[in-house]
Amino acid sequence: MTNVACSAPYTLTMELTHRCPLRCLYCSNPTELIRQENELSLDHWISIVDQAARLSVVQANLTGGEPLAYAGLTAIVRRLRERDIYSNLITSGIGLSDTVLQELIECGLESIQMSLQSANKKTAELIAGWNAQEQKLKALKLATQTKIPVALNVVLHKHNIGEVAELIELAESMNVKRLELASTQFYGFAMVNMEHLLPTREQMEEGLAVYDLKKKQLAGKMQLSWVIGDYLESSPKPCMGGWASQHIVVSADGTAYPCLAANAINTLSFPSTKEHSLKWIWEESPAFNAFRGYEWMVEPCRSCEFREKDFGGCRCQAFLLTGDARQADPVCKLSPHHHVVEEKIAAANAYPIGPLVHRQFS
Amino acid sequence: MTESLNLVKESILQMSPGVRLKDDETRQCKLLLMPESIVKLNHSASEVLELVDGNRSIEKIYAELAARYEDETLHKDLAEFLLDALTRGWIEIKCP
Ligand code: SF4
Ligand code: SF4
Repeated sequence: MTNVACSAPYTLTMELTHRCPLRCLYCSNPTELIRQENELSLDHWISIVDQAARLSVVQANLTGGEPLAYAGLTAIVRRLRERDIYSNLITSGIGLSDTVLQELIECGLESIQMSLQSANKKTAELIAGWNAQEQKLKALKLATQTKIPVALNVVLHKHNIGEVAELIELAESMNVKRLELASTQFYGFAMVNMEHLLPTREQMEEGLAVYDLKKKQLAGKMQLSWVIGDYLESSPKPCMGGWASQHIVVSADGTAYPCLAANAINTLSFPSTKEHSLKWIWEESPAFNAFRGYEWMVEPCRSCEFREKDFGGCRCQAFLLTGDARQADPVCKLSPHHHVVEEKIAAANAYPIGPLVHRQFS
Repeated sequence: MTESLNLVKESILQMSPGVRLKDDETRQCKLLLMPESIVKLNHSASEVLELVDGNRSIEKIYAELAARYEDETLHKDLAEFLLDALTRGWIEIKCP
């Protein structure tokens, strides 16, 4: 098979560690967490930054786990700055003291995205498996007092979708300029806990109505965004510009993926930055080329008029729900597997019977 | 200019915190880098944004562009673009 020509990647997501003091029910890390002894060295990350800059990457997300738990974080931020790559820290806020914050900003950190589980302490504890609310709010306050922008990100699900108004109020009171309300996407741990997380259509619509109203009221003061949960949508989300067209994710052990959820696709063998250059991975590796272009598609996508708009939806979701990553995303009404999504919604609307599964941190 | 911008033609504009321009040699264009997103700018957008430097007023930006181009729709186009950039949070009005 000849490779489809690809253009340069824009962003690099660096999953520095899978360690995290929190144990969220919807954590996007793979259910098999990478242990500390298998994490990459600082030198290796520095080399990845250099290689990414040569590939014309212009933006980097530092994430985890909790990236503040990785000792070389500030050195990586400094290298990103030296290579003129925009750096964004995605953090739970645990471990973000004033000193750490100042050091990161001095090294060139350009923006922060902080997560919050709920406006309510008890719910937050149920979700994160740990009482961290006070520490998190303290960190948020420190961060909003700096000169760099802070976005607050709340993953929405059954347990907090009724809190939209409270969440917005809380963000206002903390002087947050950007609030992202992001529906749970079902990969990793979230898939394990799907029945406990997926809200009903009515709950979603109620939340959305509050959001729409507030968004108008707060225009010019706070930027609000709502990320749709695609199980409840009628058309699939377009894979970001198509598979492996803009992003590279390097995971804590050096494996490279086109997106955070791609490790779910166990029929592909993802290349390691320990064995290959980032350039080879991006341009030549079979995994990154697997779903570029349209040749790989099967029906109904193959002859569908929307294929250039949504690229057949999400490959990871197609794999998770059908076992074949080339299938149409089952969220699509035209997919012969669409009933699987309907069944999941029905299961989540019934009283969930399985146990809650928090990720274990060791 | 549109009503709302006419009122503030003396206002000084600056890039919002965490938003900056980058010259991209590979892609042969200017990029606008900001938290979690990147915008590929066309030539006229990057020309305007280069003038948004925390020193120039809206009036001054218009005057500089007008000196470069004789374009009847410049006034209207600039107003629309700045309004759009303000609502998207790319730029902001500098408090005096
Ligand atoms: S494969 Fe799915 S999760 Fe990955 S980038 Fe595409 S849409 Fe997103
Ligand atoms: S059939 Fe495939 S290309 Fe067509 S809308 Fe559905 S997912 Fe998209």
